[in-house]
Amino acid sequence: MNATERTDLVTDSAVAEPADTVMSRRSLLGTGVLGAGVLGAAIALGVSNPAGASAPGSVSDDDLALIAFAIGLELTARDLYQAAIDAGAGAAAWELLRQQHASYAERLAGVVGLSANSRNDDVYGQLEASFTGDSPANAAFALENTAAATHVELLGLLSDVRIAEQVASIAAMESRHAAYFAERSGRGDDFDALFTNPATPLAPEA
Amino acid sequence: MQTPSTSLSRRQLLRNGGLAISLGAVIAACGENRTGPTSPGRLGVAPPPATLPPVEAVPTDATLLRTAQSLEYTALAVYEAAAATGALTDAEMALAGRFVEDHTRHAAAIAELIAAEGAEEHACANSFLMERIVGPTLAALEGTDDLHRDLLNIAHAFEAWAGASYQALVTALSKPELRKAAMSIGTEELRHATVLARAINPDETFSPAFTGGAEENDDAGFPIPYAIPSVFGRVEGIDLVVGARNDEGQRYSVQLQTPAENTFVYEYMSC
Repeated sequence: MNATERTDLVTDSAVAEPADTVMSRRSLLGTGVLGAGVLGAAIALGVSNPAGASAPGSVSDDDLALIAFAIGLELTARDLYQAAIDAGAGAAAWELLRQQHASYAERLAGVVGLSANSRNDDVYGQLEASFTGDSPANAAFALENTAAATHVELLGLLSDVRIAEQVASIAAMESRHAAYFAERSGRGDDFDALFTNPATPLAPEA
Repeated sequence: MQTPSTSLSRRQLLRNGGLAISLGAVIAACGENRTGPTSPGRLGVAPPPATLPPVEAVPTDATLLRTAQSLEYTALAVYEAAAATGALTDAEMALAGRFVEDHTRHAAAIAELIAAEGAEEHACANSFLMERIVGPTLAALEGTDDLHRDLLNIAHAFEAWAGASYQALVTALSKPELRKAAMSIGTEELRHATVLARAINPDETFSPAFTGGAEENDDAGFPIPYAIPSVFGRVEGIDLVVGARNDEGQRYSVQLQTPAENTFVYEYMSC
């Protein structure tokens, strides 16, 4: 790959936008409140467990439910990035980040033997407008913070260290995504936005 | 014709006698009621090496947390040294100041976790890392061709390494609540690394690995940092290159590894 292609990978000017005060703390809290619905729905939806793809016996029912929830969250994120792309977010970064979340859903599904095919439609419906509007980087900043916070929270609930290992590796990257979007959404001078995560994790037990 | 003599010659007597004495010594050594030291025999008069206290085969949560705390103090030592050079801009000093605040807060948070485990905190830098990594790295800055570049690369490497270390601890800690606590800190270290990567390499956010390329050092021999270096968080070593080229054209290079036996701060260890 040459230098020009590498630069095209990010095209950061296309991602950059001013901080959206609507999608900041208030929105994050709103997303957190959504959490109950997200989680409940994700589990209720049931990320399907097709015949022939039974979960390994070593995975507890509680861990299985938590990962089903996490898969639903990742698929929702994947589709929200796709919505941004469909709405005109042209930078390659959007597609790469869409792929990131698709990969997370697939990895988690593979670890526990579930099928990654069900997003949370309620959450998707509530966040879609922010991803297809004028400030998708703001929306992505909030989403990545929430996703990272949720995965960190899951680490305190999961009993299987093999699954925890995967969740940690996802939380690590979603935190990087959030810091990237903090800068690209006009918060480059805001150290709190860059380095701390104010998001309320989605609550799996709801 | 000479007939074979049935009597023993003098030479045979001496030889067989020596054999008997040797066998006697061996048998005596294997016998009971022996006295004296049981340690292996040693040559010379040098004092025996110090014996380290026995440690757990699998590090306890207390050991892992003490190690994590030592990493925070190691990072603080690095930033103290970086600030003392005077080579950072005002904006970078402000950034470094924020990192110092964060690492100080992390160290305090870990101290509480250690106390909850019934162990003593380790409120100082990791001695192994200071001797083997930090010291030599800072020494390599002497005569460097670009101190500012080196300081940013050092900061990035240490933040990425700290984040990777906490991620690695997730699989070593026994309790879910400690895994969560570790990663809540680790994600902040990774946010530090992300912003530093953007500062050093603003034109390439994503690793070329995302599009099938290979990560390579730049033309001057330095690893290129990426804000988004991979699909999943990685826990492998972080390469750090600093300083001027030596007579052989090489710069000082070291790899920062996530915590392992040589960097664990066992409970018998103190500052």
